[in-house]
Amino acid sequence: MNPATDDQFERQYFSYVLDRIVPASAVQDPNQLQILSDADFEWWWIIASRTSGLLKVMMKEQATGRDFIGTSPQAQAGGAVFNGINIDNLCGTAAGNASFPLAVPYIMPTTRVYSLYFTDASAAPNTVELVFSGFKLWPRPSQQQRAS
Amino acid sequence: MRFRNFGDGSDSQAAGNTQASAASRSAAFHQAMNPACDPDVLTNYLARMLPLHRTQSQVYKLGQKHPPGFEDGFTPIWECATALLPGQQTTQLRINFQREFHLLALMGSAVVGGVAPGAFRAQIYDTKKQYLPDSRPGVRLAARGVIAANYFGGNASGAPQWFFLREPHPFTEPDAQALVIIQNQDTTLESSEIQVVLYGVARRFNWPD
Repeated sequence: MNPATDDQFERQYFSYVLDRIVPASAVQDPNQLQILSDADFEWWWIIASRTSGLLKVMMKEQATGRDFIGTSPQAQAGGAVFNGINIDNLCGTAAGNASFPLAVPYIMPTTRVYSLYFTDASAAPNTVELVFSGFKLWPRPSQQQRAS
Repeated sequence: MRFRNFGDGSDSQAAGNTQASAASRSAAFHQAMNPACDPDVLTNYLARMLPLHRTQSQVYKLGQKHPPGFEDGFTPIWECATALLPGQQTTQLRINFQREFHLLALMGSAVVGGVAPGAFRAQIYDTKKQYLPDSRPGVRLAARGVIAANYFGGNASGAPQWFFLREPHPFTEPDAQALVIIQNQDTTLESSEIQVVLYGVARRFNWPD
């Protein structure tokens, strides 16, 4: 292993999964996803399936309050109420070649909670599965520690 | 006769499709965007892969052990501009970015009457960018408004798609802002809900912590 590029983590392929039947015409239906306490998670892909594409998503990181889905007051017109990103603009299924690559990974720390808010416009229950795909980061003892 | 050195210290033992030549072809194709002398220049890891491969096939490559670049202190963010727009009308939307936003990908969609994908044109301006010292701030990202299906992926064809930039576009000026001009080309009387999404990375607000 090249010490200049080794970050001392073993990466384990892993997916966090959120399943929800969003009630018909729900507005910002709250859901929570918590990262397990055993290892940080390096998030690379987001994948989703849904019954209807008439669904919007917002995502917020608790503890920091950071919004992943952003907008500005001047970025809305015609009386549009901002309830998030259209789910089909966010991602799709792996089978449809529509998993969205973040291109830059994001570290989700252990035990951190992520809130996801769904808004349905299909007027029917909307079965959603969101998958956060990436790697668990297992700290690896250094060669020096192993030798001792 | 010596064959070409492939950079990893090993020479090809024979012409043709040997393991060494295949590896060298792969290495040439997946070579880093930047030479080693520019290690801190920000790069989009998808840049050299998108035209030839399905995005899923990039998983293994993306999962490299220690990718250099954006990952320190940047957070993914989907900046949305949303408009309810009557047929054949135009509107302007402005997105105020967080610190050091770098645009990586574009998405867009239009919904008419709750179901059918609608048609629209869009133009995006970087309102603070100034490439020449004497010029006025502001550059456009296309010569004229582009048909959504040619500019974004979106779900216009029924399946989610997106358009990744070959290199990130930086919105790094103070108070950086994008101006999104949308023209609804639908001729029905009903308004379309049009959404343009700029996906990128921005500094965490508490960076460096």
